Amino acid sequence: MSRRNLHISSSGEVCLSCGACVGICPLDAIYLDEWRITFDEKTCTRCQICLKACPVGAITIGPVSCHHGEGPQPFFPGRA
Amino acid sequence: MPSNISCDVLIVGAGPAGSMTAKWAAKNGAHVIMIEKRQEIGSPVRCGEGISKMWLPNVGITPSDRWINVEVEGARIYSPSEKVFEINERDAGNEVGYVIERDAFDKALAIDAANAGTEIRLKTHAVNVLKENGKVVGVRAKSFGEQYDIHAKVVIGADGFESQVGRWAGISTNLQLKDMDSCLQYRMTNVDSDVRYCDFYLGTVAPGGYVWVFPKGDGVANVGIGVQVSKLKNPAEVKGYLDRWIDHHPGYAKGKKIDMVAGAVSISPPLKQTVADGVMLVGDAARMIDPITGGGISTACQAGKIAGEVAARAVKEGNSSAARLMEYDRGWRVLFEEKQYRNWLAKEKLVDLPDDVFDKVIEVISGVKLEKLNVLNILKAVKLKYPELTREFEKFL
Repeated sequence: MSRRNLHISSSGEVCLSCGACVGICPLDAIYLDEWRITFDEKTCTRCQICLKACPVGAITIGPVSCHHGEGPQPFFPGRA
Repeated sequence: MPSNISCDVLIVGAGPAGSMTAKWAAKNGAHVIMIEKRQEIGSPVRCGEGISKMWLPNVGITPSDRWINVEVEGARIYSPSEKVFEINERDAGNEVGYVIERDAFDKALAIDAANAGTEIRLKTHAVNVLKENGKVVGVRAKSFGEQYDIHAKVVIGADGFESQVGRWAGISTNLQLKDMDSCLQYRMTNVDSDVRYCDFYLGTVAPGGYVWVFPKGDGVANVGIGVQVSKLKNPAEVKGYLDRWIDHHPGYAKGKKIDMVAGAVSISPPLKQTVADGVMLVGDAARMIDPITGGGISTACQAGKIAGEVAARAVKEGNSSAARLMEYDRGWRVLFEEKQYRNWLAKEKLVDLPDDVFDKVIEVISGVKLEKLNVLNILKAVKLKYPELTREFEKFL
């Protein structure tokens, strides 16, 4: 399976909305607007740097079929 | 639908860098708008909350009990086998001084900015910069679901580590993995921290970074960790390192966590460029972090003051070209570029020191009275006892 087919997402239960992944992403493929992290799946190369750098391990990657739907997957951490 | 608006100076981000820039631009006659994506300035805190204090008067900040928790006497550096080296506040390169309440500090600076005439818009985030013929002329903003344009003669990117203003404006702010730390911190209560000291633990407990304990008084302390991103291999490793450290320290393992914050800091050399036509970057957005300590509040505030003054003058002169704004770039470089570069070189060496070498260095410097604490004096002291360790630094000696 090509890396492109992997789906990257962030777990709202774990994420602290700290923005570390946003600044660390070398391709500007992650956005944070107030509390919500969004991945631009078209820009993302699945390099997985954010996955290692996330202090709490909120970012996961897996086959697309594991997830519902395609495209950017927004999530809403508890505080909004 | 909100209508488009305009101002002289538009600031993206209401942290210390943004508020300081706003204050000094407004004080010098500019019409200033500052936007903040969060609903509350200063919250959530993403900071260890230790600051030095010598620089505060230079930027017009009066120390206040409203944001000072504790005034510490010094710092204690722990080697991997927990040999201790104690430094007093004066010798610590002015890196320690107060442990502060960051949210209250940020609010106090925002109040100063507001009192100087800044208009503040909360829950408003920048979507992109507006450009005309390659020059930044404002920001497209989004607030409560509505999108509108804010035109400005000068735009300030004070949008922190995750800065997008710089990227949109075409200023290279990208960092190498070895020039970033991923951080996690718990605020803990019922711990055995000493209110006289900020503590730092070096070595493989925090690869390429350190564990910190900053006391906040009454048995409360910030217990945090920074790990070099290039040394991380698996998800959630940072949390694993911090939890392990706490587990191995009974004085902290018995404590209870009351808050948890995360974030990342740059530990990079100074940026080559911090201005472009119509735009300036300040603070973390401009990677103005000391690569050894990870501290960035003093540099953000000092640079912010210069940025605000230069922005106001550029507006008055009707010239916000990159060439005009270079006055700001030159200004902050005079203050701390050399130190940041020097400390980045030192960091490049320190991140790969094995634990036994850290132990030897700390053992030596804690056993001698150094006249003045600096890299040269440390190297000289180490050379006397362990000449093999300083061989590659021979040219400094």
